[in-house]
Amino acid sequence: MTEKIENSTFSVQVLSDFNSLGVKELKNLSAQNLWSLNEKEILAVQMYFRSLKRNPTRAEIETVAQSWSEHCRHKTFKSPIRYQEGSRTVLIKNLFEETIARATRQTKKPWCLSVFKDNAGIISFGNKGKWALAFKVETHNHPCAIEPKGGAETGLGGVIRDVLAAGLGAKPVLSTDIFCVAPPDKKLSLPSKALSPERILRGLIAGVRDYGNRMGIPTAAGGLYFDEGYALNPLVFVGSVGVLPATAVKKEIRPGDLIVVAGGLTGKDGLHGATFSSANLNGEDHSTAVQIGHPLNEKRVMEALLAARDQKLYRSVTDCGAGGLSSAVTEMADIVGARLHLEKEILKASDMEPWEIWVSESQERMVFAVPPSNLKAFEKIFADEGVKTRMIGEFVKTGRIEVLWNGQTLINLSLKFLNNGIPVEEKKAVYISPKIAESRVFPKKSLSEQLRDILSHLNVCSREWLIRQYDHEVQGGTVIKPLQGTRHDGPGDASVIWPQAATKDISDLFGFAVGHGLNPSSGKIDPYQMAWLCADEALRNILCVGADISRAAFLDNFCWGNPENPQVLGSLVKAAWGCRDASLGFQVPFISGKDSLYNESKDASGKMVSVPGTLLISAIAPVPNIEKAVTMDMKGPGNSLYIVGQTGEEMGGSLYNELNGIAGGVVPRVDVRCVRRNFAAVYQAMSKGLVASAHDLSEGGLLAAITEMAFSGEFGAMIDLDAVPKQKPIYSSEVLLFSETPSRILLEVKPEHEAAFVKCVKGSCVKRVGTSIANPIIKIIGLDGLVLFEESTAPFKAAWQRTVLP
Amino acid sequence: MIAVSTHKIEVSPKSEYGDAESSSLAVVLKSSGAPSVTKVRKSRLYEIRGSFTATHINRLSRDLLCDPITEDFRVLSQPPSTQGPFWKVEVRLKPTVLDPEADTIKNALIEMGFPPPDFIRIASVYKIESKCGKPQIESSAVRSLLNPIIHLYSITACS
Repeated sequence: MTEKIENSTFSVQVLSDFNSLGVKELKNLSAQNLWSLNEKEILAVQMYFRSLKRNPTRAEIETVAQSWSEHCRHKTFKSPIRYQEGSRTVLIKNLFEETIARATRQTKKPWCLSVFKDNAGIISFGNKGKWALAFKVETHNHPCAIEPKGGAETGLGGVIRDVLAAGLGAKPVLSTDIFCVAPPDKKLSLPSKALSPERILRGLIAGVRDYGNRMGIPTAAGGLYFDEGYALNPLVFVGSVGVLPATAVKKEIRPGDLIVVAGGLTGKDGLHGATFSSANLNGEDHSTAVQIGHPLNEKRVMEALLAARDQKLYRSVTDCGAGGLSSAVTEMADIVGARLHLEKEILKASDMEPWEIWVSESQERMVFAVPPSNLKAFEKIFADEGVKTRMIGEFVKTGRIEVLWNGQTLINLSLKFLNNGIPVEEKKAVYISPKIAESRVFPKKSLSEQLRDILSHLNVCSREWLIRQYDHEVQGGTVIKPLQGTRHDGPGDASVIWPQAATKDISDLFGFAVGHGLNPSSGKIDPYQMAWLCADEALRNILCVGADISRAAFLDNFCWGNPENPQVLGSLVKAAWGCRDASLGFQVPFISGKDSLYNESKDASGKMVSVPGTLLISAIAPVPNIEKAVTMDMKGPGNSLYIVGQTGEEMGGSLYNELNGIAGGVVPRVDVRCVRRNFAAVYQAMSKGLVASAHDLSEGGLLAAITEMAFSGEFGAMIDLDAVPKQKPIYSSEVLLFSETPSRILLEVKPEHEAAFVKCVKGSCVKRVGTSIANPIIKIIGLDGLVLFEESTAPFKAAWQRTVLP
Repeated sequence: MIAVSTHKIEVSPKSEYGDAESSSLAVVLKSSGAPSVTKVRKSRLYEIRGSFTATHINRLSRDLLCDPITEDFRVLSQPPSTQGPFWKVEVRLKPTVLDPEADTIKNALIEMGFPPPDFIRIASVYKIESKCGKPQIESSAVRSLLNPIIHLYSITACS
């Protein structure tokens, strides 16, 4: 309901004995109030107030708790870590600085316009550098475990607001979603309060569908990954890409600018979301942390914001996310300072304490820095869209955050203390290589059964039932769609977006592609290699649709268990090193990222279970001419099929091993020098229009990839295994067919383009392995020259098209 | 002057059109602990309080609350005649939880020129035909139709 409710009559609450409390009492107080401040931190707060010779107000402690929470501060990534692996000890001062940030600095890409500073990473876009792309992917795991639909809605709403608040505001043109959940077809024993995986999945899909579709933003890139490790803690990654003029990237705050809140009203919903994300899920009631999304409100805010941006009515903007006004205003005030009159905020609930108003995470709100002379014009634009605005204070050059409540001081804290006062604590990390007993089983199933099992596996099978619920066409710019092929039902590698709805220039054919890499199964064996594999997969996916990967940028999202556990932190450190090396190896910078830790809960027997360390790497790159974009479906008979990259005997973490009950094995490695050469050659060929179709080899390897290409195009293929380039001699056809060696792509080349193609890829590892045929069958010639496999594609398509949920 | 009163409007899918949501809910309920569910019918119940005439209510139900091609609406003046036996599960958001749908309907009513309503509450009503007892229906509903953290619900036997 939108009517204004009279401001609450509560007065400022001072914690009158705070400075005299002992350690134990302080710890209890922190736990009772869901502050998630540890012993050292709450003592630092007490020290600060003792030095001021006054007791804090509750709102002040809440501000510190929000600002120092894992969610806002990324304490694990920014504190010193003593890492041990065998007899080797490494001291890390700041994991983020030494891995991801350093790699980005060293790659020195001038087209990175804003990295790690703003609400989203921003890169240059378009032919003459007229535009910029903002990209952000966030996690929203804890809220989704409690209320999946509301959690997914507000997760997506939040990341869209991040893009709206990137620079002076970008118009969102694409949403992405990746869910990691437990397989719904397995009987799992769950604690009484936990929701079933099926329920969670349905809720997540409904949330993204209802929010994204109503906002009018296409949801056209994503993924779904099943593993039992996500039964108690589902992982939800939501992302948004926006387009903004290059001139709107810079934002600033000047003393005297007014602080204006626009959007939804403030209520009690979602109190303590930020500090909640630093706590484990332990079966208690968390109803205060539940948020429900209101997409139509956000849509109005978006329209008004973009209009106000184009009229240059404000100097800076940020979204009210975790921590509400407290985080947003503190973040904006940065080193300047701010003075607010909190009673001016408009409420939708009457029983709110001032501190609750300050930290409420009511959705769909944005905070602006508006020069006083523009206030009237600014308010009018928002009022025309039906959005309520309220001026609640101004930025002042005091270096402090001062909040008044009906004339009384509610908060008076120095920004220096808030930003730098957090005590640093050295964390311990240990890495022990998992000992996985090698077992070699000789599968008894025929190749045909193996292929059917792979294609109908939950992690491979068609996502059409999900994709069709999302509007992936709205805005009319989805030139390469998630489902491809003759019947629009084949598995595309990535989507290509032509953001003409934002640039309003249909003669500009510049587009972009977004891809994701996620490989938790290899992370269980080797987290360092997992990072490489994720980076490789994300790049490979966007390369397959014709993106210029020399202009690609990465986003990282780490979801791990409790970092207080040295082994959990050890594998996190390994993965971060992997990210650094992959970024430097591929020469692709990271531009933004997020971490979500403490993803652990007690299972039915009371044992603490944490998620498998999960890294998501998202890649974005321009497609300079959308007319040259490529899809994965086979285009005709008589075309040559080429494979990019060598195949190795690396079956560790592969689907084939999983399905045949084989444990251990070598996790594939990325030979980056060779891969960069191959990928560059493939892009050259694609940009000249020499490639008819391209599909990456991922789960299920060569046989699954060629079958998917064939049934999507409704043609067939003949492949000669002897011609497949190998790292070392391989004598097993099954390895050649099912190995998941990364960096490999299948290409289809028409005869008339073959000579030019061969010239183009000279010097790289691209070899002809077969031809496409008119008959819809897959024919594999084995190493002995005999026909190893000859089957119609129809039953395999049927197996692949199974639905995940009834 | 029209007296302020509460109007209840139930919107349900027309029988001649397939109701995919309800048939999918039957499968979901079966798999979450109520194996003998034979049929589920889902409808939406709107409670609108304000100064509305019967004509107002008919018009706003037809033009705003229901899709007149695929859905029917009924204004409930007295307890509806039931075609039982079935279990009726009513699910609504807790008053402390934001209800964007009610908010949007309220704004739409005002924009359509109706008098502003005092309040709007929306419930999902599930009519479940099953031989299961109340505890089974309740536990499977809690597992699949609602989330007790944000919802209030009632379960009644209708004959």
